[in-house]
Order: sequence, then C-alpha cells, then structure tokens
Amino acid sequence: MKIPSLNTDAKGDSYFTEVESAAPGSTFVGPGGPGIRYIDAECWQIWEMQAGHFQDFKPNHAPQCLAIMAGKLAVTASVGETRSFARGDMLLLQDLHGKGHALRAYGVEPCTVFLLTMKQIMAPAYSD
Amino acid sequence: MEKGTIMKILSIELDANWRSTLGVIEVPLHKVSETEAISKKQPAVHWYAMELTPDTELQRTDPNYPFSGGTFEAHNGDVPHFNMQLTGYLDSTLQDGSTARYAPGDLHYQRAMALHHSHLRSPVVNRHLLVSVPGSPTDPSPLKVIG
Repeated sequence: MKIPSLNTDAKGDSYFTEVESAAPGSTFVGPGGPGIRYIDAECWQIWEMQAGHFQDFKPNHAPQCLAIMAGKLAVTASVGETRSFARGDMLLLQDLHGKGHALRAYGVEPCTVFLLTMKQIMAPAYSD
Repeated sequence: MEKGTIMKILSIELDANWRSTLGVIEVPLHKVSETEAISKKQPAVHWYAMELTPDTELQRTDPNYPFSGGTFEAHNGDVPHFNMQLTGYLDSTLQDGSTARYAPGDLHYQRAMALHHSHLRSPVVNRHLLVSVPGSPTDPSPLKVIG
C-alpha cells in the first residue's frame, strides 16, 4: 500500500511523492507478522476544519500522518500540484523546512482528521 | 485555547462482567480560530497500515460460513489501539450481540481484552490504519483522554 507524502527537495520546494507502508510483495498475516512497517508515533489528535478553512504556505513543524475521517481537504505543494483527499484517505506531511504547503478544507461539511505526529520522517522504502 | 465541541468516537468497551459492548469516547476539541479546532495531544506508541483480503460474502448465520473458528469466533485486539477503516467495510460483532459496520473514514477504539468477531464482507480489499496507545494487552482500563 502506497501512501502519498509531501516532502521537501534540495531547493526548499515541497513536492508529492509516495512511501511504502509494507515490505514490497509481502502479505499481511497478523500483528507482528511479515510485511508490517511499524512507525513510531508521539501523539494522536483530532483536528477539525470548517469548509472554507485556508492555511497559507508554511512548512510542517513535525512529520505527521493524516487520515481523513470526514469532509474534503486540498493540499497544495509549492511546486504547484494540488491533491484532494476525502474519507478514508491518508497522507504524510513531511515538509519540515522550505516553502511548505497550503491547505484548504472544502465541500459542505467540516473536514475531520485523525492526526498522528511521528517521531521521525518516514523514508520512502521499507528498510528493516 | 477556547473550548469548542466534543468529538465522539465509537469504542469497543467492557461491561461489568468483562463482556465486550459498544461505547463512545468523548474527545474535547479546542478552538484555534473561527474555522479550526483541535484536541490536546494524546500519547501514542506506533501506527501501521494493513491490508486484508475479503473473506466471504456469506452471513455469519449461514451454515457454510467459512471463517476460521466459525460463527462464534472472537478475538481480542492485543494492545489497546485505534482502528480506522480506509477502504472496504468491516462488520464487528460484540458479546452484547450488537454488530457495527465500519466504512471508510470511520474510526473506533479497541480496548484491551474486549472480544469481537470481525467479518470482512466487503467485496473490495480492506485497508486499515491501526494506532497503538500506551497499555498492555491484559490491562482492560478505559482510554484516558486529556481534555
């Protein structure tokens, strides 16, 4: 399973890439079984934005994983690409310096996010 | 931060006889601005994503229900954790007789020691985000939410 991730390039621009949530080719067999990629987390929060909420470009203060519980969220990278996320979507905000990203909640209902702050940036590939 | 609304999250709880039952966890949100609110930071241990292939479209009461362990199989969820449905849907049956269906975007909390039966009736792959919180697999204490 691939998870979209917003990272920063050498010029300070944010761009979308992907990280792999499990070892390539593996199938899940149970907690602790092969293929599971455990990511250390610091805390969880519930974050709610009303439709129309806008946050201008800024880098994220810590690597975070977002899982959308309700509503719709548009995330714009500084290279110009905008991606939309809705119920059941996950994304990683890992642009910790540089120009950062912009956020906009849109649609007809609040955007509710299950927000996880990670202890470190999640590398694109599984390396355990 | 100014107090805002309360976010309610479904949870698999335990009754006085340690039988699993459906409950609700309340998470206070604090206003950041007119258009934004957030809860206080709550401790977590780790997260992982998992993918499960659909098992059967038969009902649990069907005599041919093929799930390993059968109709009355139940398991607990090891360490206390959150489970968020990403794709597909899951029917979770508890010892109080209730069944709750979780669809993409639905988040629920699984208390340690709470038995449940998971039926992956979805015709598409089930993807889940699991987030472990501090606690042991044998400690049935309820989740403490920092308000």
